[in-house]
Amino acid sequence: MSIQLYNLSVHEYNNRVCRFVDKLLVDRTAAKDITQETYLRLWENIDKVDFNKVKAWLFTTAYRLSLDHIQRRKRFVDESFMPERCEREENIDLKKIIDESLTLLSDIQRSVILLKDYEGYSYIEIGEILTLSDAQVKVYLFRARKKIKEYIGDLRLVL
Amino acid sequence: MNIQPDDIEALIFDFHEGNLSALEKSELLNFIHLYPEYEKDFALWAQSYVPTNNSIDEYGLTKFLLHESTKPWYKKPLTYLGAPLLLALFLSLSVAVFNTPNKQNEPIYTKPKETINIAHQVSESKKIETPIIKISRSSKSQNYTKKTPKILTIKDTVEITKTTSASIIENDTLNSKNVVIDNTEVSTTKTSTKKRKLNFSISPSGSFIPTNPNF
Amino acid sequence: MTAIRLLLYILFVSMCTSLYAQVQFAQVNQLPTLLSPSMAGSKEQKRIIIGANNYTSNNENAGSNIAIGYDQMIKKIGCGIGVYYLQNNFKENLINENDLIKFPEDTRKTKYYTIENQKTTGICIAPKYNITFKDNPYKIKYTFSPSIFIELGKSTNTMLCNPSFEYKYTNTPVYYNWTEVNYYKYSYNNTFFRSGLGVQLNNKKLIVLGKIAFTRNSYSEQISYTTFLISTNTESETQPKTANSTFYAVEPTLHLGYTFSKETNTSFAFTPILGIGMIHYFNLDAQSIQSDSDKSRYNITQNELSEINYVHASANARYKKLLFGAAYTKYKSAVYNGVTLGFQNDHVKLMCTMNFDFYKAYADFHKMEFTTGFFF
Repeated sequence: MSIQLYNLSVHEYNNRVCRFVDKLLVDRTAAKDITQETYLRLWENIDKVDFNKVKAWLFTTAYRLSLDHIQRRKRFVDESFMPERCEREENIDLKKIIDESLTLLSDIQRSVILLKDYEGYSYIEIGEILTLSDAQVKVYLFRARKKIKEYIGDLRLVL
Repeated sequence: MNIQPDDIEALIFDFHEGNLSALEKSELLNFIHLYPEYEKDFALWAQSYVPTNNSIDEYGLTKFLLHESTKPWYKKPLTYLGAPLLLALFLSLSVAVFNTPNKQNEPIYTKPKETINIAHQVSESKKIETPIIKISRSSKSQNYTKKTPKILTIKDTVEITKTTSASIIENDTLNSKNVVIDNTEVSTTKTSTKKRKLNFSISPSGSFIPTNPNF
Repeated sequence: MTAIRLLLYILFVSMCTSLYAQVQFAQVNQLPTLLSPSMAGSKEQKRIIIGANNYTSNNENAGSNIAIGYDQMIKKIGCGIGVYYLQNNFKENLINENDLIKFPEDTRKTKYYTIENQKTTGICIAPKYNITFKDNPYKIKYTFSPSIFIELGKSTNTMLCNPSFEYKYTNTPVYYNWTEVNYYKYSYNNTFFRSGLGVQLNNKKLIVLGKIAFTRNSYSEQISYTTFLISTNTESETQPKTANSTFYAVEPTLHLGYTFSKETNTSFAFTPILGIGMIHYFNLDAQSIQSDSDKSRYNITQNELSEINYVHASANARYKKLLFGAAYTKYKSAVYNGVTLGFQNDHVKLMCTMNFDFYKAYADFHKMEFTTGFFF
């Protein structure tokens, strides 16, 4: 991959990668650091990475670095905890609710949701990034959407 | 398709994921129409997608991640403009320095000239006169002190960052032989590396550099 | 030297040591927690180390040393822990046959000796801290590991010291007969407590190890004077005197190692290691150390009160899984040197050291030093 293509990948994907990590870690500062580290590694491996696969490579690397970060910071998400629903507010922002519901998911469930909804990857592509089979991806996606659905609660509250 | 209540969630999920065929979709919709208690679930599943828009937030990293142009210095446009200018400047300065018709050349020396005289030899027998040749040697000593200013230099490193080569084989129709044109670019990037600041972690870490196994 | 003996030297390992050997192993870098407590948990795997050596000589000196250690990393708290056990034994026959022409051999072998036994157990804790780049906290430049350690030990020594032989002229003036031997018996028990700090700074190639140990020695001594009559083979001994004393020592040690290897070719690596250490005694009455005896009190001589007592230099090379090198260690008056051979994979490391003098015709030597490590 030439340097022009590297720069192109920066223009195309750096914000996407950063958004993915930001949503995954809910930490903008860490997301920037991880994005920089991801691109640093891409620079070090510029000869080995094919530009046609650079997007998947970037997301895979960013995902792994995010997992390291999570392990380092020992984040624990209580999956049984469901925050109180805003029952009496009107004009609730659905996007905000969905973002809140993402924090309830496990790291891998959240990663699957972000890659599917934000980046539009297929099951196979998500499986390659997260080193899962497409069947496993589907299972994680099902469980994640189920949790989000439960959190949203009564449809009358959000519409 | 025989829809069971236990399978309804998975089917609704597949519906929204687009994993069902047109026939299966219509069957599911008919089922929900027959059993309205599943309508709420159906709608909630539809809401479980992260709403995204086409615009992506700018995190301000782009300028830090980009790398400079790969062209070698001699291929840069500035070289084409600057080189002739520099040459012209050099030539004009040379003329100014070395061509001083109104001023005699005064050698800069402190030691006296050493003159070597080749003796005028007159061969009496042969009566041939040899001319006197004076060779003057002047020792140039330049008494000046050169003060090298102190410059805090940032260490520059030149790295050959990449090499790309593309070989194009052309048929030379005249000589009927293959000519390989090798577009090998050896790109150099001059990066100035400042001394990076270090950070000491306050808490112990399970991730560390293990001792070398050769130790 | 016969071929068999040469083969013995090749198959078995030898290590040269002299009197009062207190550093028991030439392969100090293969016993990491003994080298520095900061090495606890320095390998990502759990580690068991075993070291053993013995030696005999035709002077009937014999010693054996055993070291066993275990250390591991506890990732949750980012801390390494290690425990180890050392056992040292040394026996020397003071009188060789040249000194006592007429002295009964069984008396010489059983009476005139010094035996030292020392047992030490220790525990160490070494947390690991990372030094990273400020602009990239995920890139570790160095790992820094301070540590603390505690050791408890006991050493006992029984010796017969300063035998002086008296002789009388016999009726036949051709030769002299020893008739009476005077000597003193000296024994001590030393219960010592040692604690200290260690420090390690390393990256993938460089390692710097420091250690400082503070020892509190509590000696309980007994001394009695004995006269042995050769003619009657009887021994008369005075009532033993006892004495207790306490003194301290501080021992700093420093080691430095660097691995030279090509990044792209990791099949060969070369690691030189240098080490230096010294000792200084506190609260020790120098006058109590008798300069006129070759067996000083506490087994410490006057010139050992403050000195550089430890020097180590080794060259360690690895080619794929084969290890080889040379080592030189000097601790007090003991010198350890030899050629090292070994084998290493992800789970096992075996090392042997052969003395440089293996080609000399020492008839009765069967020297061996062997260390092994298991990683899991």
